[in-house]
Amino acid sequence: MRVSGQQRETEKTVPHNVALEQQILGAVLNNNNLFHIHCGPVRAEHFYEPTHGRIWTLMAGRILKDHIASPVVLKGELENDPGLKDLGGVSYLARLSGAAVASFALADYVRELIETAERRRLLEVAEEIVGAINSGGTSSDAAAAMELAAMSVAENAPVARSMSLLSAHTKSITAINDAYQNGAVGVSSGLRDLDELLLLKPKRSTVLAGATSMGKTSLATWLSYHAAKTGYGVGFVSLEMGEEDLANRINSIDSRVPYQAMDRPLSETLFRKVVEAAKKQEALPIEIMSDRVRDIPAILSETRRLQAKWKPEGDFKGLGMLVIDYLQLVRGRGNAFEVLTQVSRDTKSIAKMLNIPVVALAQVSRDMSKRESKVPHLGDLRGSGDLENDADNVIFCHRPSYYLERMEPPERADDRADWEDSISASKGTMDIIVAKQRMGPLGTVRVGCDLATNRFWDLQTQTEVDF
Amino acid sequence: MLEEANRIKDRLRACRTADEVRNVADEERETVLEMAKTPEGKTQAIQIANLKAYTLDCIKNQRDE
Repeated sequence: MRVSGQQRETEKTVPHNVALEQQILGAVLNNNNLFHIHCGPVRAEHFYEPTHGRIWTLMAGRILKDHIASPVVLKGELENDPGLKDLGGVSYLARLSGAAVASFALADYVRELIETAERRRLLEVAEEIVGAINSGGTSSDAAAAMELAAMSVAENAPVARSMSLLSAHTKSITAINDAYQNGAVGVSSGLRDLDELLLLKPKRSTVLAGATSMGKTSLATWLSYHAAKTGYGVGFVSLEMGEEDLANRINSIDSRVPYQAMDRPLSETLFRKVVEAAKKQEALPIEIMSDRVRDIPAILSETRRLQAKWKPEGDFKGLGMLVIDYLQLVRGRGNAFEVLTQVSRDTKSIAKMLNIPVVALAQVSRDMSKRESKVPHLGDLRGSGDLENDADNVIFCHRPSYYLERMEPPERADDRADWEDSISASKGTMDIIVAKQRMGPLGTVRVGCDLATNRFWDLQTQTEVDF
Repeated sequence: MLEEANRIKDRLRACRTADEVRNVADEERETVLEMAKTPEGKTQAIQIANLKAYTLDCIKNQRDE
């Protein structure tokens, strides 16, 4: 493979070990079982040579599906790979197999591979921090970026950071005792059925996803409002809306004046309601971070500032929740996929570092609108970085009435009656689908909602179906 | 789920006697009750139950006439 002078210069300074990568790939190609024994923490991005990363992705995909990954079977899938052509074509796979390291040494090789990748990444972050400082970035943002990088190194370390069972039990019993003394540990949504299924707990990250117009921001606004009413400080990163728009949304909960109407001249009565609601809400501990806080280091440093400012006192429990609206708008480096992967990982780090729940809103894939069933599922988050893997919880907002109202009305009279019945049954409701919950059940709850005023409420339980 | 509900509704619509309706109900009861456990399915399950009652009513009226 030919390399340019500049590339050669970069290769001298960037830590990498292509021979080591070849030996790991070769060992697993020869004996797929070694993948399960030693290679759990290895990811495609740990490989410096991009073609090696692609080979690893393909191999891992096959092995995880219980299929064989050998040079012979990979040959067909990789023969058109331009990177592999540069390395000598499909015969390169056989060469990898010949270069395999002995299985007993593989664990050390894997550790070295991850360590080298981490060093590369830290160098990138350091260069970025230097660049940001040189172009006028603040010291607190730079410090937050360093902190995130340090946290990520600790998390990705191939050596397990262990804890004895005794310490784990002590921590767990303390949490159980807290729950017994002070009620449930976690921020309530104000919705009985949802709280029974899922509480927003410290250190956990929750992705709140849904298609456009499903009411993600409305639900996030409601959750923030309710958390603030119950004594938790809330940081709200609003990358889509300005501060005033979000303030209008929060105001509409109490004033019951639709927030969209607030852009137009209001009658005196409505204006009075808005002012009264604003007065009632002035002490709510919600801090809106505007679009000047656009990347994760800035979000972290700003949230840290809030945590330092809001000391728990009496009924006020200090910073209790961070909301990011929405993940795809957070800035980062690389292409959209890489940015989202990094952001979803960092979001989880923030939850752990600050010991608070983080709720991050996310848009689901547009492909969903093309299929017959519009009910979202975890697969709709694929292609959005590692959102569904990194998040502790994934909840979807879904409003069946939105789709039913846009359907072509059925021609047959009784189908049409059923369609109208379905619309009236689901009008003014939202299904909150808990599609992933670490340490908790999955399920769906239907709640009442009025998106114009961002209000949500519990529905009465329907009668049993007698069939 | 919608497909499943429509299939059961079509079966009920095709019934011409009360016994046929009851047979369909016996065969599909488990599916319908399972469907009723989710908020979205509950609406469908209620519609199916209503259609069963309506079909039985139509058959009874025809017989009385």
